[in-house]
Amino acid sequence: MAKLSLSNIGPMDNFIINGDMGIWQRGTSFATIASAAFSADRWEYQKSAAVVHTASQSSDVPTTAESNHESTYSLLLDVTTADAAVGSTDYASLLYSLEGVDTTPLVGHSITLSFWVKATKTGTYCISFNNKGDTKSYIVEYTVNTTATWEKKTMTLTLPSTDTWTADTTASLRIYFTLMAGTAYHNSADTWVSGLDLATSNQVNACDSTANDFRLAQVQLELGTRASVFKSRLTAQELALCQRYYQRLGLVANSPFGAGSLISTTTFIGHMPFIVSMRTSPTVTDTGNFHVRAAAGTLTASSVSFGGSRPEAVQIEATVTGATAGQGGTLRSSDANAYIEAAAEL
Amino acid sequence: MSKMIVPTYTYKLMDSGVRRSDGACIPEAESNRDWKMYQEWLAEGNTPEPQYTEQELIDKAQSEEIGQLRDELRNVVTGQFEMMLELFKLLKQFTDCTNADVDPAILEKAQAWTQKLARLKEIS
Repeated sequence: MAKLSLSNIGPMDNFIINGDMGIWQRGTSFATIASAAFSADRWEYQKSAAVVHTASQSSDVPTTAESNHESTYSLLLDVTTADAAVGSTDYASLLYSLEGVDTTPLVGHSITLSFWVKATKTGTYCISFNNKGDTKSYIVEYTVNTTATWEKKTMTLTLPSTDTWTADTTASLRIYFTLMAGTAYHNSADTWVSGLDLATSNQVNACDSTANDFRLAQVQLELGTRASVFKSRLTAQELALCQRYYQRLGLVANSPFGAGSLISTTTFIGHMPFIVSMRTSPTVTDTGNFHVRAAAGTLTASSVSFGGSRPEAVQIEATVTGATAGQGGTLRSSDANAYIEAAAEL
Repeated sequence: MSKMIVPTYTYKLMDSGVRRSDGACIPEAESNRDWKMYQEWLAEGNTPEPQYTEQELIDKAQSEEIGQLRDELRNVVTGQFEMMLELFKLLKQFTDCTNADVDPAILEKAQAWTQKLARLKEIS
């Protein structure tokens, strides 16, 4: 199975995967989203603060007349529990992480980040570019001028070739869209500084009211100093790129996941290939009800587990009753709510 | 950077990797972020649960035993049906009779045995 990453599908205008917020494999609304959880594919929410957000797919997007690109969705962070008192180590942000193999073409070059933002809270916000080793940060300020209005922001910087950027399939360049940051994460703007910092002291607290919304759309990271009009990829291509990091299969009754055999009267062992090769051996989770379809009939699976995970496939093991050892079978979903997800996020 | 607020999990050993308390099966892969979190959890002095509890081992063994006994019982029943049908054929041969000469009740039983035998072979 071919490995799929940004660096091997041809010349790229945008080094951000799902910058158009079109792929939402995990769902479209995430109430009380936890830190380190994902909403739109590839977009991770991070916080260490009392603030509570609902992350969701929003159809409020920049108009085609404004952006010269027709988006369908933006990513919305809606404050449901405000945090007006920012502690020194508090922070809340959206994080996008690039793989080393996709960061390598950017190292030593000027890069330009552009995006559309619509926020209730006006004032100074920050973007922080970091390396995975958390040893360097580059903070750039931008201003939300008008409340609840789509505005395009652009910024250019150079990734120094003197720094160590991983060149493999682990995380390398990380981009934080900061909503709030305590003084422990403050540093100077427009220069590479040591350590992992997220904002300048000018950063507003965009989490201080339940009236606050923050929408992000059309995020693009390009080589060079010019921010071009947002260009989307084919949906199939964008989805496949996302599936390198996360795949959700099923959600249809009797959806087949993998074929195998009943190695005893109680155990089914099967093989489930992934849709595309994943970044690394993924974490695999089952949700819902499953059964094994075998010659003996439909055998309800009392438990399902996964072992021998590889980027290309995983071994399924299901516990059943009433099986006949030696028969073949297929693990299937028992209803439209069952699914198996594989995660290889950075 | 201070530690993120992330859910607190426990872990259980598997044949390979570990199973997290939310059901996720985490492979032993250095570049898997969940495996890294597990390593950090271990470094904090935590200990994973064994793959099977004592009760789970007992349940597993019993379940296997029940399955084996069921297979053996099926083989015994199949053998008995085959034997009875063979005897029925032999009886007809020795007595030189046709189905018309046989008591309809016995014939009915023989037909039922044939059907049951076919069904047992089908599902075995």
